[in-house]
Amino acid sequence: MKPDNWNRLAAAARQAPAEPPAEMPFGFETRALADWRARRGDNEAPSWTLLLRGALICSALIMALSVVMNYRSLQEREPGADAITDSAIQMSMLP
Amino acid sequence: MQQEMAEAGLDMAACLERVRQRDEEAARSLVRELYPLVMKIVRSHLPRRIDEEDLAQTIFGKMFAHIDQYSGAVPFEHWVSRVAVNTCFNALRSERCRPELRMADLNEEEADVLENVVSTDKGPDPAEQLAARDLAHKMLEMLSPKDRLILSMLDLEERSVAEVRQLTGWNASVIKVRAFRARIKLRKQFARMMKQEEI
Repeated sequence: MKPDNWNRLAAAARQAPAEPPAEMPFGFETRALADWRARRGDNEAPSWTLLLRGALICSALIMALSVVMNYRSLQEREPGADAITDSAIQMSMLP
Repeated sequence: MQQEMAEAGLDMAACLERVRQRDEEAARSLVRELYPLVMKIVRSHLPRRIDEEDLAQTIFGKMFAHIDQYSGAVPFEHWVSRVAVNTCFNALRSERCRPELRMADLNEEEADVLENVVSTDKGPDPAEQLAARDLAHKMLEMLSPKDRLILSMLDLEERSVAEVRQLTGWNASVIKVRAFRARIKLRKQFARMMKQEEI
């Protein structure tokens, strides 16, 4: 059986001299570490975001609770001086 | 301290522990130690339009990002190799199109290699080995990323199916079937190119 063309080509390719070991280019490790630092920063950011979100939710709850607790007093509050004056003027002008 | 580590060979376990504690000097030593390994993998599976340094940097980024997931069950170099192979595979997958190789695309040496491979039983001359390697890579570029990765590891790097399985995480029978089909595709490609030559 005739040997496969690909096998012959691959065998020849394997015989090719190995490429020289890669020399690390100047500044590569600094770039890799900067990338690592940036990713770490990204990972730490969500904890702040969570904290802020929690604070926002807490303050919204406190606002809602204070409105509920003061609802009756808000409803029953006495009318202001302007409203009384306005009402008195209207009464006096009535026939 | 750095020089001591380099001279004595890196104590990987200690270095990893320090990297986990965000020690940048240890991270620097780790990059320096693993760079040749990562570059060897990158050069074997580099997509056409991606710079090898960029890809290596992406691999180191992933390595640092997931270093807490390394359990120590396998040597760290194996774990990094797997990260590197998967990153290369993803980069290969992101290439939208695969080139159609024609005789006109080959340089003179590659065309000679092809003719020798097809017409003689002994294959290319020793002087043509570099051209043979370039031609082999060009032919692999026509395959799908998965087929390319498998055939490159099996036939060019002479890795076993078990090693490919370990590096990629793919099933052994999938690897064998894909390699078989990929070789058939390449055989057809050889025939097509020689037909073009005759025309």
